[in-house]
Amino acid sequence: MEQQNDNFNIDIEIKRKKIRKRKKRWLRLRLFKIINVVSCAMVFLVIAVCMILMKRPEISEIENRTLAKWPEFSFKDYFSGKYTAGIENHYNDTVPGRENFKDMVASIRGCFGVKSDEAKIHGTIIKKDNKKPENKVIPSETDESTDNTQHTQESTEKPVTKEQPTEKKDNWDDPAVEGEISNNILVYKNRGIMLYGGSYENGETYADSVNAFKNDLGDDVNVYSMVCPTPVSYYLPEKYSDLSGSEKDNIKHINSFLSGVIPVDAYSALMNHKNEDIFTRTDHHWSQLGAYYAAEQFAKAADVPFAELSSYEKEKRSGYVGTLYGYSGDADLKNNPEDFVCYRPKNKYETEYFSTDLSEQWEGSLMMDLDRLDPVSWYLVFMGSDTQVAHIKTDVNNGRKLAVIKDSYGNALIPCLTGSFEEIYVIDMRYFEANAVSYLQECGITDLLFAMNTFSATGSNYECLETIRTQ
Amino acid sequence: MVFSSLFFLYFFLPVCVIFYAASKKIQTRNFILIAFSLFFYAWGEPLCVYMLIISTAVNYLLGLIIEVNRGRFGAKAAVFSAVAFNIAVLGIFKYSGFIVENINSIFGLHLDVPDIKLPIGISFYTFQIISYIVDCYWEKVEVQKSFSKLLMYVSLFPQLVAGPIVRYSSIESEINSRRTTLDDLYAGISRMIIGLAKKVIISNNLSMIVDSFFGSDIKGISVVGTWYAVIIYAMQIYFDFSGYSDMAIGLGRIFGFHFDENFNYPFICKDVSEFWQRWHISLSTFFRDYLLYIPIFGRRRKYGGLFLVWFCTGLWHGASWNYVIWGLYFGVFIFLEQLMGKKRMRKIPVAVRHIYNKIVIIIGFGIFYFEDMGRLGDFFKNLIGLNGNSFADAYVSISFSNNVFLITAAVLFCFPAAKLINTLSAKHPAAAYIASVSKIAVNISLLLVSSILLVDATNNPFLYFRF
Amino acid sequence: MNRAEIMERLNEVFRDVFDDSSIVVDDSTTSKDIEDWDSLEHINLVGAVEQEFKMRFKMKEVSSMKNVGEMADIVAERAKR
Repeated sequence: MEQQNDNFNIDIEIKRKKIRKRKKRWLRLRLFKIINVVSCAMVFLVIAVCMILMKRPEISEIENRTLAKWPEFSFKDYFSGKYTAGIENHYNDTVPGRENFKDMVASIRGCFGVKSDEAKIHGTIIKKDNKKPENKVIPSETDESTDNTQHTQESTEKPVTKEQPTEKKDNWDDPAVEGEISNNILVYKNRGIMLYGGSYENGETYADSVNAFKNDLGDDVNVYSMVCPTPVSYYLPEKYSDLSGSEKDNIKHINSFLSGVIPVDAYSALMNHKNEDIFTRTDHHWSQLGAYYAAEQFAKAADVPFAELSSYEKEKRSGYVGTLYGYSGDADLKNNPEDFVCYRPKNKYETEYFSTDLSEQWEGSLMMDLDRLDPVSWYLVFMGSDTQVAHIKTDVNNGRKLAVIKDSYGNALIPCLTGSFEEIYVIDMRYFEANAVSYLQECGITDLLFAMNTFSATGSNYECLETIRTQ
Repeated sequence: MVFSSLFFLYFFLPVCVIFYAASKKIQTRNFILIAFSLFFYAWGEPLCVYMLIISTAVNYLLGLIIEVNRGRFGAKAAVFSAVAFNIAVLGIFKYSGFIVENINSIFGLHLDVPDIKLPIGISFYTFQIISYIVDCYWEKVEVQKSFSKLLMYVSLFPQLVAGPIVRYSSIESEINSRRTTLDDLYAGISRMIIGLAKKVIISNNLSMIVDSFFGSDIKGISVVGTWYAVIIYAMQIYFDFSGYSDMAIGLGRIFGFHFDENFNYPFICKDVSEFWQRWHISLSTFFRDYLLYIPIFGRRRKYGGLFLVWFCTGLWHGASWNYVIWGLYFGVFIFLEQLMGKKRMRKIPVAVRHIYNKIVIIIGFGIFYFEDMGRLGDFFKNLIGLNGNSFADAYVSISFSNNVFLITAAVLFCFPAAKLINTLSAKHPAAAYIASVSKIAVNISLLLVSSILLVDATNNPFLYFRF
Repeated sequence: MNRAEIMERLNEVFRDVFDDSSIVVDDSTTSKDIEDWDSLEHINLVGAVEQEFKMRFKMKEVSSMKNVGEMADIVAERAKR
């Protein structure tokens, strides 16, 4: 009898122990649930409070734009939903510490995969113009500096290099800058390479516009076309060559359609110096060294003196990360900054600027102070802005007056020509508001250079030429 | 306002939850929900919010009329008027442009095509109101005598803007009494964070891949590239929409509501019919219950109902022919599967069934993507290399390598990985502890990573937003 | 016609529609219990039941019948044969 009771009691004890254990487990799991809920709630609250209390930034350096401001109220905007959307946009856009978070985003995105043979691709795949180009059969192509034919090639005896004003990306919120870039960027060995689509048809239209300028200006003015290639022609590895169209072929095609206009071969000029720092790794512009070699080619074609590189004052800064980081968001560019180098001409010159409608005028400098610019905007050292017209008077006395109609790719060219021309006028084809032909005639120019990169010549910017010619 | 924005997560939501938690009585809590929901909707639709209120009011009154006239003709008239009114509202705001365009092309007219801005969420809340009024007529639910309670059901912000379509019957009792327990908070917050992560971490980044291939003229894209991009797109939509549904369900849970599941790992389906039992479940069940059984052709025509349902499913997704084609496309395959019969389908080897339905579904998503018929044609040609496009190119290999971990994770989470973990931890107490602790880390890190990624997103509306 | 008769005839209809002679339905059978009983087969089923008993289901019943028992109740009310 006693035994049975004992056994019974032991059974109950075991059962009680099991129940206690289970309850303990359940409580512990419950505790974890509480911790989970509380910690998540804490994260929400902390971030919510920080977003309200902390100071909000106004500009994004890396994206090169002003951040969304608090919208102005109007009943129209309220009822269309724009006002509330604007508030939300302002809240979302002006996150305190935004630049740091953007860098974190780039790092997070970097964890999504690996490089394929050292390459990463960004942006929308551009459409390549694969049509076989039927160059016009005027044997005055730049590569074959042999035949001249007909009236078109009178001025093409010397291999004329057209100056290509490098595009400057100095305008905040400027959608027009898009014309000279594509967002399809290949990052290869820490170099950002914009992939080029090209368009033979657009190239022909560009040639037509440039020919029309020559026609309007007449025989007294030498007109040159320098369509400048970009890094894709020099640094895209062979195995990826089918990712991009051919800048060389597109330029060749354009040159074959020029009539009365002298083509300048920047392509070969740069190819000869490919292993020097002629292009930056992290920005879509070339370096001033590249512009220098192209300018040298142009000076030969225009038969003007040209200052040696050693005559310039070299300035260098480290820690440069340019526009391609902002466009691609690729952490490799951010983490591998490069040196920014510019060359200041030592001869005497004066610079004045006009507003794009020519109504205002002010004195200025050709090259800016690097220390006053943020690293990502160092390219602005060349003239500072595109929405202005520049006029430079140099100490050269050869009666040659140059006008450069440019796109934002080649502002770096201008300092390299201060030793070549008596006066230089610089017009940005995207922003000029007056009639270019009459303005240039008024200024009494002797030489007109069209200088832009291939993206502009065969992309959406080429239409600007017709606009400024006829407006 | 969209869920995947810093403004919603860190301004609207905390304020709303704090107010809700601070009040104890159900009436105050309901009032707070109505106020915040209307504020949420008016934020995006300052004018159409009145349309929502008016719609609710009309259906509310008609509901009362049904109640008063039970068993008499008046009730039938009321429910028919209500459904007609709701469909008319949806038709005008969403389809008038489409309808007029088609009239113009069929009859060669040149009527002005109305360009009405689509009020967000209208496809969802209209269907929800229909579910109320029809269920009320069918006596599946009781008439809602309080206008504010009906308004709360219609305007409830968790599911208002992009679903799921919550039936009145499923939350009828919770309108009047609900509690938020610790489990509700735990499940709700976790679910919401998972949904956010699905959207922001996976879907948004998959969409960048899709955009890179399909973002402009696709004629030059390689065959492999086209397949690659459309497969990624299928996953993008899944994570976008199911992520949003997760957030809706999670948010609802925080307030004590239990919404039905809207997705059930659709890609593990064995045939196309099963896919649609797992995808946007609230829509397919809605059409099943309210549309499929309408004896439109007098006799019980199975295939008539099928055609009608799939036409409407396609059309519901967008006022454009590619969506209708998409719906009918699925209808055709389901019809074929019906003809085969379930017994014969089961005899086909599983691997073949899987491959077959994946191909059908993936191509279906291509139809869904390309609204322009020209581009859709290019898409089909690209798939089999008829556009002179190469078989493969460096773009695909580079893109795939650059995103291999993301894509792997996406594919992995198309499968019920979480369920597996839960069943394992139910069996072993040690596993349960590890799971519980890691869930804390997972929640926090997913929340933080998603929030950081959101800093970069200037604008990322949910894809199902245009409904 | 009593309830048991109705259930027996219903059973035959089920066996016929789903082509499965092993089916046995009772009041509590739902669509979850029969593998092939989905929304489309449901239409076939409803049509077959209507034909068998010469009656019509109302639309609300078609979509809201929860189990075979409810089906039998409606049949009992309305069957004309």
